[in-house]
Amino acid sequence: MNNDYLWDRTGEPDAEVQELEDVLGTLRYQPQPLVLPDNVRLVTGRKWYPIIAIAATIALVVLALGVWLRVQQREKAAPGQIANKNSQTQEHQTIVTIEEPSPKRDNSIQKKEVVVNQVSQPRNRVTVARHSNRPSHSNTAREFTAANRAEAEAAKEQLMLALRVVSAKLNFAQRKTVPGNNNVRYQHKVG
Amino acid sequence: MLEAEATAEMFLIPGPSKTAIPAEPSSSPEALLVKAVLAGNRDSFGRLYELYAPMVHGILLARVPRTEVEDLVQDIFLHAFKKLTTLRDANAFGGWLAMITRNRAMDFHRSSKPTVEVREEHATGDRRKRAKAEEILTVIRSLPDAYRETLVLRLVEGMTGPEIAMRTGLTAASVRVNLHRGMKLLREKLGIQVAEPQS
Repeated sequence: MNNDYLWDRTGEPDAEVQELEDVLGTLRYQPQPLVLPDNVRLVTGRKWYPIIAIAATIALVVLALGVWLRVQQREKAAPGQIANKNSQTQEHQTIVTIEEPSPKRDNSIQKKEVVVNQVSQPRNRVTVARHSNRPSHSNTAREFTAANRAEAEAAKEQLMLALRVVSAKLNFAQRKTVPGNNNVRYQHKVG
Repeated sequence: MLEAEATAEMFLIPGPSKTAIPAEPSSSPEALLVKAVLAGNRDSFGRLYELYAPMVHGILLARVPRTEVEDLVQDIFLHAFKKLTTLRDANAFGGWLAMITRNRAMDFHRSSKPTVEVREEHATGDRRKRAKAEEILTVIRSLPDAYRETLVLRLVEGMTGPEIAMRTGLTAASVRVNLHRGMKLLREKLGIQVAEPQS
């Protein structure tokens, strides 16, 4: 077998290859004009597609995070309301001046400064007391938590959906943004 | 700064480092034609069609029934024209087109029902030669992908090894190996075919 002839038709012709060329040559491409309709145009705008996809992905992530943070804040605020009120009863020290008669029977009044531990009551307590006709404070809190939980569940579902969309978008964007030095290899993914 | 560059290298982030941007290769005539088409010259695409139609025809012939090839050639060039803006490197037009052709051939097999090619049983002269050619083509189609494509381009389309490498975007070494191994397999298969009726 003449390798040069098979490679670039140089050197001594290989009879077997020549025969195959002769027979198979009957199936060779017969030039035909290309029919390119006038309404067929180059598809433009695809160059910006990856950038738009990435921007949309970032926007979705920010939106999802915003929703998530809002839900978290609401969750913290609802069951902790009572605890917050209780925590407002702060103990602070006040210096009170007490006037008491002196033991020396000289009718003089001795001023004595006493440090008193005062427990300040939260203002909300008054509000709670004023609305004491309510069924029960703990029940209200429980109802609020249940409603809030349902809302949180819905928000969580939304967040998961958004994250799934984000993931799909990211994959898509990754496929679009192929490495520069592998153009030939990745062109089929683009085209 | 050094740390940032090292991190960028670690994560393969193309940055403004001195080695990241390769020198732009000199434009081939095909690349110039591609750029002309992108600039709005539709006639240049006709020239690209003339240059690459045999390659597309050969790749299709190695994979799909002969009767479908002509239509598919037109389809592929139409598709390539529409999508030309997605070609990032104009020098890689051949490889890009070859990949589109292979994908289109695969799509054809996925979407079409199995067909049987009609052979000319009682033919004479050129027709008999054509029938023999189709028999050999069937044998070539039974070879592995890389070999059959290269063999069809060489033996049917009459392209030389360097031409095949240039058009398809493969390396010359790959084409050479595929040609020789494919030819060896083809000889073996044709030998087996000749020997079978005798046994």
